[in-house]
Amino acid sequence: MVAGTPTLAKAIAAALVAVTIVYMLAPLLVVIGASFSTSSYLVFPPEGFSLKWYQKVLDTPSYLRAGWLSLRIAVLVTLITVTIGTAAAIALTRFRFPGREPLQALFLSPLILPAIIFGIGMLVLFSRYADGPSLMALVAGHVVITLPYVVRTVSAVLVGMDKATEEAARVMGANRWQRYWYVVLPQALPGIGAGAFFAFNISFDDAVVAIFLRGPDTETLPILIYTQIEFSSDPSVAAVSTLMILITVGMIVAVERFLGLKLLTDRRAAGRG
Amino acid sequence: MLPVAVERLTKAFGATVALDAVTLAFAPKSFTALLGPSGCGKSTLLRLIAGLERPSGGTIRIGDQDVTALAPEKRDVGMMFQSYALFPHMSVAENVAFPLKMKGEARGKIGERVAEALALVRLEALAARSVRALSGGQQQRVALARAFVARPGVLLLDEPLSNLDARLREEMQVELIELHRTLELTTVFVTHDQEEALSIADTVVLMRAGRIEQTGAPEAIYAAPKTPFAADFIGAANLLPARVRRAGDGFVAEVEGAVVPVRAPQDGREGDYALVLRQEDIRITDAPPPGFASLPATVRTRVYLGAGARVVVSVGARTLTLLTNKNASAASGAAVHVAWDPDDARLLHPQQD
Repeated sequence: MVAGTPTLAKAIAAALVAVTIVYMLAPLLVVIGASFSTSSYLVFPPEGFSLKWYQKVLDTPSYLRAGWLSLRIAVLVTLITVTIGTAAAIALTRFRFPGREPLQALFLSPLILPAIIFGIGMLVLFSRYADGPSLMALVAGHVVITLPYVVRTVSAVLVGMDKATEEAARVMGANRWQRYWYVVLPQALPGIGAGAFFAFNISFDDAVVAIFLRGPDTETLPILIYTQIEFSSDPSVAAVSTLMILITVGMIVAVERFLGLKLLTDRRAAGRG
Repeated sequence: MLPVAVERLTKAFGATVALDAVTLAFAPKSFTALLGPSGCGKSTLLRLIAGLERPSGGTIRIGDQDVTALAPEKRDVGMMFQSYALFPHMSVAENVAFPLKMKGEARGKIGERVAEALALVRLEALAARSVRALSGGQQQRVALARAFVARPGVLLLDEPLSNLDARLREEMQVELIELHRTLELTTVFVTHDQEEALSIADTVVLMRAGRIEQTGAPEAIYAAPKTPFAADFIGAANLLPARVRRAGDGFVAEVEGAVVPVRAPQDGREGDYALVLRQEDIRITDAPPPGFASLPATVRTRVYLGAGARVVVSVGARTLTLLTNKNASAASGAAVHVAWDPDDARLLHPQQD
């Protein structure tokens, strides 16, 4: 490779990169473009330019209600998942106990098993033992599917941590809780941050679990968008989708600012290594 | 500056005995080196004193308290780790303040003590810096300051200088000695480097396979190793198998087919011994002085050291290493004689490994 990569190989690589970028960005561009169209149906390329569909979204109570619900669920899910996931990661990486390996597999299983299974299970469970779908049912469902991400990202950071720092803290007089609070958790923060990011986003745009737990009071934004597109093809759907993209991009920027973007792309912190 | 004493202290990891009924006392304010090859149990002993390992048997006392069953966080101990174990998410000052904070010291007092400790390791200017932004040598100083800032009853240092380059290591040896003189803390440090042990400590504890081989002041242990292992590890000495017998009113030894004069063995008995010759006591000569022992030898390699040279010679089937002054000429392959004063040679009983 010292002599340089052949020109043909370089050209092929460049073409592949270009195709990948187009392939990944094209759907976003279509949605964003369509949202600014003046026509009253979804069309690409957009015809003219207007913000009226955004106005319509803001004037439609069902969108606002669904958006507010999705946001509340995502925040609750993130808080609960981060708490449980971090505790689980500490237990799985720090302690040896019988059943540790099966438990580890159990925590990661939602990553492998189709989310639809959890959706069906949740529906049956909540219909049988509770009053059917509810906000808490949705939160519970999302906690299950987002947990593996937090467990993985936090475990990865904990495994890479110098264990001597805990011993050092111990010799310096720190009891168990002080060691977690002052030494372990701060060092696990990048993993917790990455896990929280995944948890929020997965919950915020989940449609699979949410569709099973849909009820008059539990229609989340992704479900509403889905039904809207089924029954009408008005570009306000594209406007809502663009707003969702905006929220996600905003979160990426925030994570970038406060925790560093490498958190999300780093194989180790992202827990996919 | 508390005394530390361990009695019949034993630690087994499964079937492996890392420390085998070791009894040892560390005087208040002493500076002791635990020296030995890897796996000799020196680090295990240090970690047992800190409380990071639970002993399989025996007792540990710090001051007049039996701490054998006491958790590490309740012992009056400061410890510096080989990896330094600095808290990467904290600044230099926060790292050093940690033990004081855990003790619940007042904020003002913590600031004072941290500043004082950082001044002692000459890091005042870097107090606010993140420890991740420091060089290896600076991190080492932070780890050291953090270990002694609370003035523990005993200060434990695990291979404190092993991660530094040669020049920095020599500088830090001097600083450790001066720091110990200033703080007067009972200090125990682990090292596998005999030169480091001899130059820093006032007491050297040589360990081997979970037991203490020899204990003493550096000069004493260097001048009078009690076993071939001690002679080899402390002085990098040459060991030659020797069959000793009486000859007239003295003793002689058969070494590699030649007969050389030796001093009387300690118990005056004939038999098989290890003849111990230190590198600096052997010389290359054509005409050995009267009364000297001498053997024919072949020069194999000469390593230039600046102030002198290290020469490796073959004597029969054995290899000897010796230090010469820079003027001694010794070309590879040359047939020479090596000679030594019988007063400088020691006869020790051979040891099983």
